Amino acid sequence: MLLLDNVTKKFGKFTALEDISLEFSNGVYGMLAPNGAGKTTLIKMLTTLIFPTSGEILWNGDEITKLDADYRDIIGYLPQDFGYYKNHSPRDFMLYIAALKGIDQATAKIKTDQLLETVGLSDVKNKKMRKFSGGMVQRVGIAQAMLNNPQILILDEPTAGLDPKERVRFRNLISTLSKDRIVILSTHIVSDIETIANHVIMFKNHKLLANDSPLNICETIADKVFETNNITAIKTPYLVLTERQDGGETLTRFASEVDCSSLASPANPSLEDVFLYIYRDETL
Amino acid sequence: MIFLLELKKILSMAALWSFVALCFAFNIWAIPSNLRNVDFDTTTPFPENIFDGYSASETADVYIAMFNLSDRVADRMAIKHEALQAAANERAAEGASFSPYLGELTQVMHLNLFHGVAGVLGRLLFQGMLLAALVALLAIGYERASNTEHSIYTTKKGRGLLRSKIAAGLVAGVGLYILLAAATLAVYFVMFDYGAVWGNNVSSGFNYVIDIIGARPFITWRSFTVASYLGASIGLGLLLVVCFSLMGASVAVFSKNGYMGFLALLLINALFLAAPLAIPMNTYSYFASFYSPIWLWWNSHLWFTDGGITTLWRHFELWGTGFSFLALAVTCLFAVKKFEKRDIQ
Repeated sequence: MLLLDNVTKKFGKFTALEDISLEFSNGVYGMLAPNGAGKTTLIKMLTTLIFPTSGEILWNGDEITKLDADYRDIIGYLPQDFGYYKNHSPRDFMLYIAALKGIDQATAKIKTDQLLETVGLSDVKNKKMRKFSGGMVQRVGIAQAMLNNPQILILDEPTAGLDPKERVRFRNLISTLSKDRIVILSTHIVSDIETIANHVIMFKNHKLLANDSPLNICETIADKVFETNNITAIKTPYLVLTERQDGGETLTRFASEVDCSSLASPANPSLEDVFLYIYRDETL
Repeated sequence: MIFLLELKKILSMAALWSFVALCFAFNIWAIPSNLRNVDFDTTTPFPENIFDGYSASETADVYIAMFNLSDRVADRMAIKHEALQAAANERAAEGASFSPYLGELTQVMHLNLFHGVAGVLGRLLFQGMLLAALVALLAIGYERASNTEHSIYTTKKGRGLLRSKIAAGLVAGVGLYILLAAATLAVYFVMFDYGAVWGNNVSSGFNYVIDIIGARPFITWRSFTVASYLGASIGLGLLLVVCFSLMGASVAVFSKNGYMGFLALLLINALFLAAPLAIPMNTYSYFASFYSPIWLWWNSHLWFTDGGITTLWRHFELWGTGFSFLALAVTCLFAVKKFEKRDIQ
């Protein structure tokens, strides 16, 4: 079990994360928050790239900084803006990462070929990555993260920059890889989390706001979401969530603290509604 | 294993090999063409024993008077010259002065090969130092430049990879210096046939040092043949190259990128070079300021001799290189320790 105990991270006078306590056991955790909310800061602490200013992060009761290489041995990490050696082939790059992960050469070769097959890059495994598309690079990223068969897989904005087809493919891949391990996924793309996460973690004002199942999180704004094709009729304060065309009319989905069921149809809140509602004051 | 992979990464950089090739071409071009077809007299001994009756204390007295050295510094200067007198007596006893070396052109050719700034070895050493520092900067900055720091330093090896990078940078730097030196010297010795002079003593009467008080005999602390002097110079040069590799590595750890690191290196060495200008001459600190790596290179044609006015102590090159190595090794270790505890943004 991975445990964060009152973790705070400050950069000078700026507090990026304050007093975060979380517990992770097997499953997919989606961290959902706008940019700058502290998702990447938390991930960097979980991957030992940065250290907490106060509090501690424990893996099975031991502080991860003390576990040092033993802890890093059980994590797999796909960073946001995954970097790679442009003059290397995916295979060469993976073999290099495998060496850094302490995997012996023979096993590394087998594992590399298997993973490149899994992410659909077998046919280009010996081609230089210079000309790879964003999706192909991300697939190399996920493959390298999986090399050591990690107990904790951490993916920071894994679908950023991917086209819809690649995004779906990526979600399916993550879903496949999420068995019997902790998967921590950071994103501001709600549909990613809705599809694959069974826990949602939200931050607001650099503090933990929610850590619950998507269903329970959606429940927090139950009875507050409505739809109407005549938004001008709503006189009470409301927040427009989305607009879409429906039979030649504009259907507006909105949230209101006041019951508007006499003028609009109540709707089941989605995670995207919660996201827009909670972060309504923030620049997204 | 990791060390070899890091070494491979460094040696795969085309820019590095281009730089080595440019240095080699420059070194060959810089060999004076007017000396290429000269027949050197390698058989006629110098006619007298210049060390017979040589008085080192007279040289010390001139230095002391000329620079108005304080009693404390003057005493040190006198002590050094007492030791130099003993070395001169040894050269006198072994008849080093009679060594033909390269006849009348000995001094010109000796400087042509050994001079710190204008000689072949001096150029090689400068290039070696530059290469070693650049290689260290490139090796350590590689992940930042490739945007791979986050993937690399979260592997099991983690920040410990820095040690392999420093070691690989050091080996690559030293290796490239050896390669460049071997290639340049091979061409040099094809151009100038030293076959007959390898066993000659470098303290030949034909050889001399010119400094602010005029010409002085070239007196080494111990007896050196041309071959052993060349070997010792290359060997000590290697240690200086190692120093610059450690300097480059230390700077790289604290720099934001390779360019800033390179600028920092230039600044550090410019400060070392300018240090004697800022320190009063009648202090030990003034003389110690010539022990910095950049000054050791500048004065490399005086290695294994008394070093002239810039040094108060024997074996300035050995002490200087030794101190520099230790100081830079400690700095580098400190940098590694800092890196282990530093946030990687």
